[in-house]
Amino acid sequence: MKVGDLGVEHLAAELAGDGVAIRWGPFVSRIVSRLPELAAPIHLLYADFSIEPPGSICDFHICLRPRFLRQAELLIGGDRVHRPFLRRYALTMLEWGMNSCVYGFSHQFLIIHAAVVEHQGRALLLPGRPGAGKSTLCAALVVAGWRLLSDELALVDPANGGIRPIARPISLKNDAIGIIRDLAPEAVFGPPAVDTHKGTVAHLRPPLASVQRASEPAWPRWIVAPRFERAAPAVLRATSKANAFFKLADSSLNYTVLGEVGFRTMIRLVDACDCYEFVYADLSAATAALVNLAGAADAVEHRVATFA
Amino acid sequence: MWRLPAGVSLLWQSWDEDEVIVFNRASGQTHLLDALSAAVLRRIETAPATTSDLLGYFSESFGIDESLLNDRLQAVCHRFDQLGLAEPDAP
Repeated sequence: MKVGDLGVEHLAAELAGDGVAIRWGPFVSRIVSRLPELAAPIHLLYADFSIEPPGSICDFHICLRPRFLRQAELLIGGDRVHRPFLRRYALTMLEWGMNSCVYGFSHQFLIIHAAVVEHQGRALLLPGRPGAGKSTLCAALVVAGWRLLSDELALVDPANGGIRPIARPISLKNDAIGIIRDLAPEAVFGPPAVDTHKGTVAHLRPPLASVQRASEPAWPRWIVAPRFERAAPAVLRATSKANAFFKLADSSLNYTVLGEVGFRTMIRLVDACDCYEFVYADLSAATAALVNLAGAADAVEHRVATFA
Repeated sequence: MWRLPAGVSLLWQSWDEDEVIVFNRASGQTHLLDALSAAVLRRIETAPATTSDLLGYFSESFGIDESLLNDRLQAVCHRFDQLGLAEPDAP
């Protein structure tokens, strides 16, 4: 059963009761919400996600419940993990909580703060600090037809070097919301949260195809560290693998936790990729540059296949 | 005599000779080394060596003036000492 198969009222009742166990990639979260207003945005953004049967084992237990006045609180595994917040930020806090479950508890993966998209089975990692533009680039590529793996967290499997998808709503901020709406008028957004500490935040529903392929890993091929710079032309500059290694290690949430496993996994990841730094201002030009990068790889591999 | 501290075990990776990555299993730390530093550490890893051993070993291969090389080797070895990658014999 999918979240969208339930009516909003039915979903609200389930959330308020024992909760709903939603699968997203390798994880299952049981979400309990005593905030009735959260049911509609969950229904909208997670419509295509599977609900696990009652009694299923869940990786994470997430609870949102009201506090006095117009406040709410977030609990993970029964612990309050954030100071109380205004109820109108509940969706943003749910998304934050789901991410924090990954980087707090999921050390079976090397976790890198990066957006990941896939084209023809090959993954493009966009690592970067907040504000670098990784979610915006990620959304632009996704609405152009690339598969979404994550707008926030790259999960690298130490066992095989593949990247595991966690295709959840893409969190967009401020001007990026309107830009992506203009690029893809058919795209579905959740309700915007205004006046957060990052400005206005809205979540883009992940494409059905990405959600349906959430158990299918992708294989790393490119590491592109983006940096938004006003009025700059879109320029991809090749960088050394050692430089990319340390940038990714710096962006990783558990590289040091994993020790030798983290080192070996990071080496394997960087070894498999062409590495670039990417300065851009105009999103269309930036998207075109990344599409061309993938297209050039397609052409080379086609030539190799032809002459093999 | 410079040697690896007891328990230190290193993993190496280099995609080009000017940037060498080394992981210290004992500390869990990862270091980026230039070509000379990497060569010195590999030499010490192979067998303990004095600074004059290192000087003789590298004076031809790096084409650096001997007194400059001596200064560089002293600096590199002391930096390794600070990082827990090498240590001198107790006086």
